[in-house]
Amino acid sequence: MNSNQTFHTRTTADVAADLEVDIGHGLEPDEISLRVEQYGENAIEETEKTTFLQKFLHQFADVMIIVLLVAAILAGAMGQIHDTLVIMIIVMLNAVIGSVQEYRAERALDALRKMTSPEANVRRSGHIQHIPADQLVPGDIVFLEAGNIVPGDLRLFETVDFELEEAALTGESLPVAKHTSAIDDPDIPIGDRLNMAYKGTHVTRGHAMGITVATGALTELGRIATLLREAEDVFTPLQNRLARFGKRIAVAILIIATIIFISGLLRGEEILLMLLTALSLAVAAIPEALPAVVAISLAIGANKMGRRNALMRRLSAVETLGSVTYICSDKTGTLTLNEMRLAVIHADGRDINSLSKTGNQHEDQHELWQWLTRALALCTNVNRDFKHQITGDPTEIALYLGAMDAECDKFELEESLPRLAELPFHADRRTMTTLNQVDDSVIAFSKGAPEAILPLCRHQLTTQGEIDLNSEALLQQSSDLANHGYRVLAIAMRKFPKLPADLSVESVESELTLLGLVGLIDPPRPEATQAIEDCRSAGITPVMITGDHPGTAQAIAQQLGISIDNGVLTGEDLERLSEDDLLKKVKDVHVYARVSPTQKIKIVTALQTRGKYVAMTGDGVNDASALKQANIGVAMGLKGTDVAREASDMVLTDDNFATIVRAVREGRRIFDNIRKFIRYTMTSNSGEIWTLFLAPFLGLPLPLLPIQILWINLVTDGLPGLAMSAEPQERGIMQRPPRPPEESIFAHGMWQQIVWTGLLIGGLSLSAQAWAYHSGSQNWQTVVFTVLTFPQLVNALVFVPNENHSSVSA
Amino acid sequence: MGNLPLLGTVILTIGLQLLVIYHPFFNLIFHTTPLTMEELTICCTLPFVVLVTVEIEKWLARKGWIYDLKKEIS
Repeated sequence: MNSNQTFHTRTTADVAADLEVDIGHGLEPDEISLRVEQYGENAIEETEKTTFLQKFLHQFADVMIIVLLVAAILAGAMGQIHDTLVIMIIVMLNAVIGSVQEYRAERALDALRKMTSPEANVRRSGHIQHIPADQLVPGDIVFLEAGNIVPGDLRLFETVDFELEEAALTGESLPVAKHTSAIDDPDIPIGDRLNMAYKGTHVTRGHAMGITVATGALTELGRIATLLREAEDVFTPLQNRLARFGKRIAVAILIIATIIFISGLLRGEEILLMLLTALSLAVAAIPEALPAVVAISLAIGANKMGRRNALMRRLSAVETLGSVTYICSDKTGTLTLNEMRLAVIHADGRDINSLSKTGNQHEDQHELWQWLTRALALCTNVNRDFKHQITGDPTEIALYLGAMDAECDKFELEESLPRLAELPFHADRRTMTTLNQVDDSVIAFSKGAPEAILPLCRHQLTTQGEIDLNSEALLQQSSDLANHGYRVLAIAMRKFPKLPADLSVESVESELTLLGLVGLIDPPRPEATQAIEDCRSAGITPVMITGDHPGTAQAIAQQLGISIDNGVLTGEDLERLSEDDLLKKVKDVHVYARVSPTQKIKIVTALQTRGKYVAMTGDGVNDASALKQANIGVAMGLKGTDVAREASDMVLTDDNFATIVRAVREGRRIFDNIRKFIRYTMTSNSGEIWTLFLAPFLGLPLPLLPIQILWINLVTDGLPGLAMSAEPQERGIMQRPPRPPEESIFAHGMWQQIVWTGLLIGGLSLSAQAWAYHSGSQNWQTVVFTVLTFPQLVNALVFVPNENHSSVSA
Repeated sequence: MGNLPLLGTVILTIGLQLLVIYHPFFNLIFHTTPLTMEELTICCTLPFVVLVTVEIEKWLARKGWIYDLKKEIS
């Protein structure tokens, strides 16, 4: 097979023949499995996978383990062979636990990566299939459309208005139009090979088909992958901070250990025993495991969020979710249902919200309401499939459901009032009419744009009977509704004695009697209102950004409870504002309408300049930069593009705003539990240090043996510590302000608490030791050992779960 | 108490600690000696000193008399 360098010089037929594939049919399964074996997965090797054994051995590279092993040897040298054995066993157990946890965390992340990995549309065995992009093999026929990320290197054989953004490969950010004809020059630069689509580039418009000529490391992207490999931080900010903190505290503890060692020697203790004690203390107190524990908590948390529709693409996002102060969300589909619903009916000179009989909005049983309901039911075209799902145009479905509110099912009604004829909707006249047999007469029901219907009406039906039509007032009413974001339709009827012979539009759609105006809107998701409320109590400002009409934005914002006190800012206003003015306004404006994707970046940047921590949703190719700019970019899993997903930190598999808020809540819980774990272990370490450090000054013998220190750290502290990540959320977790992203993990008194609680525990242990020692008990050492253990358990049960400090309302 | 795993591990840990104090085999390994009833009672009582103090601290913190939580949060 030729190198993929020259595919652009050859005809597509030649390329297809070379790769032994029929363009119209695709590869066959047995051929695919052969090629998977030959070429491997279509992945640019990420991090090397380590086996469980490697993970296990890796645990021994840890400084703490090495210190422990030295301690074991020292113990052996002192003739305490069983100490050596026990320390060895503990080291082994520790390594096993460590590698199991690492393995679990890795599995959790792998599962997440699989869920967020892009897919490819291919033709195989004559059928179009969705496959995970890493299953692609050379010879696969790939379909591309706007929003896709190209899954492999392709020689294009069909392009329709097709443009690619190849910045990932060429650095050129302007999209390039592609074609299919062969190019003669074999050495032409990649950027000029206009009949090729390269892995990792983005489709910005049109669609195309191509033959896969290279996958994985053989692609152009694969060749330069070492240069390009995403400079993604392996560690989250918190892990980095903990690692730095660990180093500082290690120095402090080494000093303390030295003091204990020297003071022990001065008291004439055995040098080996003191060395062992100092080493054990160092092992016990240095919080080296913290970054690892954080990683595991975050990975498991991310996994849990994934099962609840929030796929985390970066671990750091789990950690920082709790710090979000602004959530900028698209309206359509995220805050709203992305479905039309009947929301306003203007009839009989008043506005009502629904035709539902139970709503008591029209207690009078006037025929007007019956005719209106019938008109909505009969003058619509929707289908009901075998699963009783209603399909059709969103507007038509809205009207159908509007009639259903009044318990009027179109499909039942049409059995008694059959449709005789239809004058279908036409874009020019913007009306449609159906004629139905009603008892002995024939009724024409018409609906359409008010400007089109009203001139055809003579009268209006009201509960007072037919009155003359006040066309001007109704048009005003209609434009008012339109300004509030509703799509307005006028509904009218006309009675015929029998089916008219002349079914022309002109003769049927005239002399109509108006029944009313209806306003349709894409309503808020039911759960979004509560989510917005949660945001507010949690100190998060919800912001709605939409490309829609300002009136619609305002109407939905009002229903959701998003503040419009400071008005609605449109894209045009935004363009006119100076940078300074935008900075002033951005904090207070919560609704943006007619906004373009580039303006979204402006909004995020302005909020960030004001010190806000911003989550931003997006779905289109154009949203990618805004998602990257936001502190937490949120992509839509259902209607989002691959490009938006790639740029995001988090993907919503249900496109639902409430899911973001739930993820914030979960992020706060995870962070709280990490804090609890750190507080818990550090308090225990602090207690041991105080005990060992102070004993010599009080004239007491060495309180703890090395083996006992290990027991306390790994078992009596270690076990409850592990369970802490399963702690449920605190009460009021969403009633407190967001945590500033730069805030120290030891804030809110945690640092002081660790020191003084440790001192208290140390004091108690030493008092108990003094009491037992001076009363001549043989058991004084076991007493200290136990007194150091039990308070921590009480802490675990009472102190930690009820931690209220962070829920003090500001 | 919403966290059963935590409660479970605490009970397990108490059991393990008692094993280490009273079982001859673990006595050998951990250089421990069986405590008298009086000593065990002391060991079980002292933790409640910690509990009470922590509760007092929490109360002080809620009142805003220590750590100045309100200032830090807002």
